[in-house]
Amino acid sequence: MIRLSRSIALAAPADQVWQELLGFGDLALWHPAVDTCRAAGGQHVSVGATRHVTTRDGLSMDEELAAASVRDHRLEILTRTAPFPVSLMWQALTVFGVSTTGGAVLRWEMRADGPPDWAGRMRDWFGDGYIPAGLNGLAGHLAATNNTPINN
Amino acid sequence: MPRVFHSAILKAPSDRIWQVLRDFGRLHRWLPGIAQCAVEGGGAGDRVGAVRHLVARDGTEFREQLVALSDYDLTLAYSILEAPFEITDHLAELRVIPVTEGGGSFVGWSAEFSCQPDRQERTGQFMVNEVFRPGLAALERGLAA
Repeated sequence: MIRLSRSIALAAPADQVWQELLGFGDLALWHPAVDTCRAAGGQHVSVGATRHVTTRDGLSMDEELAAASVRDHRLEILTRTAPFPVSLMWQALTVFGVSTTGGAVLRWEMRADGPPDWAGRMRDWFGDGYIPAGLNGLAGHLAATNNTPINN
Repeated sequence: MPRVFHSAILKAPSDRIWQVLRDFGRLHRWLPGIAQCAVEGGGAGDRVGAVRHLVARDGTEFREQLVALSDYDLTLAYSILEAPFEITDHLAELRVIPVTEGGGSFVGWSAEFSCQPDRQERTGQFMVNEVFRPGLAALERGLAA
């Protein structure tokens, strides 16, 4: 099994980060590697919701929201159609508040079962590319949002 | 059920922080206010089920049981069995997360508990202000040395 975990400190309150993640169909707004994201049944999150994601490098994924916990600020996502030959692919995004700064930490985990000869490629694509790009993209998106004057 | 939480991003690498935290039987080495800590029966401090006996500097005593520990997820959970104040259904969790983008380590310390409603705020404040906050500050200082 491939297991990856990446995380980033964000200069935004945990509740604000969580609200961004709840926009399940809004992934392309902040993920620089995502070209399009189309949610079935609207942009609002509910367990069972699905989205079709295409990336700028030409891959596509169908993802389903498998679990959402407001208490734990945690989303779990199952990939129904993956660009890699995997039998199972699961992601979790969890937001933690940072008491000493008022900011947050976002952790993005991924697990997948698949052929061993694909493991290295998937680690590279997700662990060194897609997930860090998403984390840094969200950090930039939040910074831009919070720096925008409200009277503009 | 009240839930209290405190967290910080420390400069030290996660594995160094975790090696300190997972040593359940030697809390007195890093947590201010704890004068003595020993695992009952002399067993290993990182064994799930181990009970530690704490003596604070003011002479009060606690017994706490390790109920979960994961070296993969860098988390542990423990429960207060006996305390010098009324508390039941206590469960605390310590979590370390490497901040892979940017460096440092997130450490979160949370607890849930039950007690009389008029004692909830005071008990929660005790945990955050007398245990969690000074504990994480002491970790930062100790691991920076």
